Amino acid sequence: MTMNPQPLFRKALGRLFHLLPDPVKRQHGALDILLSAGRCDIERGLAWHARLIGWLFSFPPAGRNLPTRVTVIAERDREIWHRDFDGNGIFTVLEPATKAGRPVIVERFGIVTFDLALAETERGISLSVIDMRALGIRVPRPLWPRLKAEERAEAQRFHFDIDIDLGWGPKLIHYRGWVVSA
Amino acid sequence: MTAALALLSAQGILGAFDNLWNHEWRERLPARPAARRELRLHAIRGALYAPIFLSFGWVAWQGAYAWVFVAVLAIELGITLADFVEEDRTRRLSGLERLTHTVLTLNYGAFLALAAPEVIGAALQPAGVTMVDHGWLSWLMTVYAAGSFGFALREAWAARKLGRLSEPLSRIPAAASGRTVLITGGSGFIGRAVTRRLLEHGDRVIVLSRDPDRARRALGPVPRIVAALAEIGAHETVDAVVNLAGAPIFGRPWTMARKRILAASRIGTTRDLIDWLAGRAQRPEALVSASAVGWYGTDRGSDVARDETAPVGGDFPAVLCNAWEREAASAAALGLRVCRLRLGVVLGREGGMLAALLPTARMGLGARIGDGRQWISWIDCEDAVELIVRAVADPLFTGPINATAPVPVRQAEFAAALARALGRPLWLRLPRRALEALLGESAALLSEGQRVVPRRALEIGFVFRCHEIEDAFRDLARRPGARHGAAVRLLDDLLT
Repeated sequence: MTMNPQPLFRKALGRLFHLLPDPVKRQHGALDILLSAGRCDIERGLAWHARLIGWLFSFPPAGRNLPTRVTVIAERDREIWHRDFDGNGIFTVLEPATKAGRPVIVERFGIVTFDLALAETERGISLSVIDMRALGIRVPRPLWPRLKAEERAEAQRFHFDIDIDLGWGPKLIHYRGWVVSA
Repeated sequence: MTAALALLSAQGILGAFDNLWNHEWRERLPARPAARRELRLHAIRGALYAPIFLSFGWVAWQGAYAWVFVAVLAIELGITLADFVEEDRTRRLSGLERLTHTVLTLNYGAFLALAAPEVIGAALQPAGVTMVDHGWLSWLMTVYAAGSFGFALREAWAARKLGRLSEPLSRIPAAASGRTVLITGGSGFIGRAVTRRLLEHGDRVIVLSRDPDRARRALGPVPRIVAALAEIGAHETVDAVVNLAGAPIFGRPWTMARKRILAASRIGTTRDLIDWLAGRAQRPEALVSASAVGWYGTDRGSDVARDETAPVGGDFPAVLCNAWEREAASAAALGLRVCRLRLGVVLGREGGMLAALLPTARMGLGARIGDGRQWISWIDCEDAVELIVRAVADPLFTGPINATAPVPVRQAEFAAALARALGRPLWLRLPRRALEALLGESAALLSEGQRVVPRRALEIGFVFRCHEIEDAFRDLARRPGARHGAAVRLLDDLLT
């Protein structure tokens, strides 16, 4: 009984999805609503422009071993992700798309939209930015943030390591941790 | 005095907004038993505001008369302060309501500061009454006075009716059943009725509530109320669990934040319940967990009748119900019999959709929505309660069971039947697009539906009290006070 027979990441990765470690498959295989919980460390950039961007986009404050909850709501053609870091939440919306004949994940974060390419790694997947838009208008590449994002399995937990800095400047945010879904 | 009148004008507008938006629409205070005392305070305050508005509009008091007027202003201030305490005691105010009340208070303070010198000056003069005319401002004050008085009557009557509708659960049955039932969501609309029925049966009831004070006010002294499952000792026997907890799905737009709250309040709560059950040596025999007919998805009038074998839908309510049921079903691995009741629109005077529709329907403002062909799969509250209570004890109640009346109706027929029961015309048409513009995605709860039939309940032999929609609305024609004359009944209709 499913209403979302093809989770987004399965569409984007195709057969590779089935080769992913179980915790990663579980976290990205939501067919309806998935609740996960775990812990996370967050570092924030200290430069004034990093702090300004963080404030504009409601980045969570820095901290260590923060209680973390992730809620994934899988609707017909999109997933709503809510990440709660010790009471500070961020919403993003993920949708599937095809760019240059290649399946990508489009992640919308407020007024900004990123096209993310997925690649399989030794222990999971990595994500990279291949396009960026603000209010629907394409942003020139030099202004894109630099994203190092890895998701992997360790000890039956879904681990994430997301490091974002401004390609032309300092670190914005680095959050890494783990969650487990029931 | 013109500046004071301007502030008083603003007070009237803000007060009207507070009454209509916060108290009537958002909070539905006239339908909440716990708000009875607050409604009384509002009624007294409205009754005081009427002469205040009229006085400032048309009369200049002097001497002893002015001192009486000063006393009325002071009493109003005292009532407002008492209202602040009472509303904080009985409910959580939204940010907007708190802001409105703050602005109203500050405005009233500024008004008093401006009016006080003139009023006190008049009080020091020989007693007398002089008619004044501030032009259009005087007429505006008259309108405000009429509005305040109207609201005062409405709230006084509602408080009186709430006293008749809600019997405190203070009866302790003579013979106990020996059974203990844990209920989540016990202080909600359906939960209160289920709790009452279980207590009448002689069951010991434990209510899990996030707000124990509020639950106590709603349920009275008899059921045990706990704020956390950990308060239930491992040595305590729990024979059955009724899981009704969940934030209301209707009434607020389905923003991403709201969807997360709807998900967490159902799935997260159910998961915590299952985790707690897994850690117990003694486990209940049954888990009766609420779900909803939204599980089947919606359409705009398909005649396909969906029984328990029909597939799950794909919209947000279906996603929510599916995840909720999946969580509840996991209790079967712990040896519990799990019954997932897919509730239709529950019709009862004390809450839910009917309580929300009655005020406008009584004013002859019931509406057909869109083409009115969308189905409403409804169930009378008494039948819903009876199903839940039967499911607790009857081993035949297992798996998914549709909790809907045998004869679902289209929305046009629902609105027409309600209008007939109330003796009102049905002439309004609400375009679907207007509803969607107002409510966004959640408009689908009104503009779409599903035709669901209770096949399994009927097979098990459950006997519905209300088969057809007219049966559910019959009680509306037999209201308390029906023995009074037509004038009283009309007043009753208009004010509640």
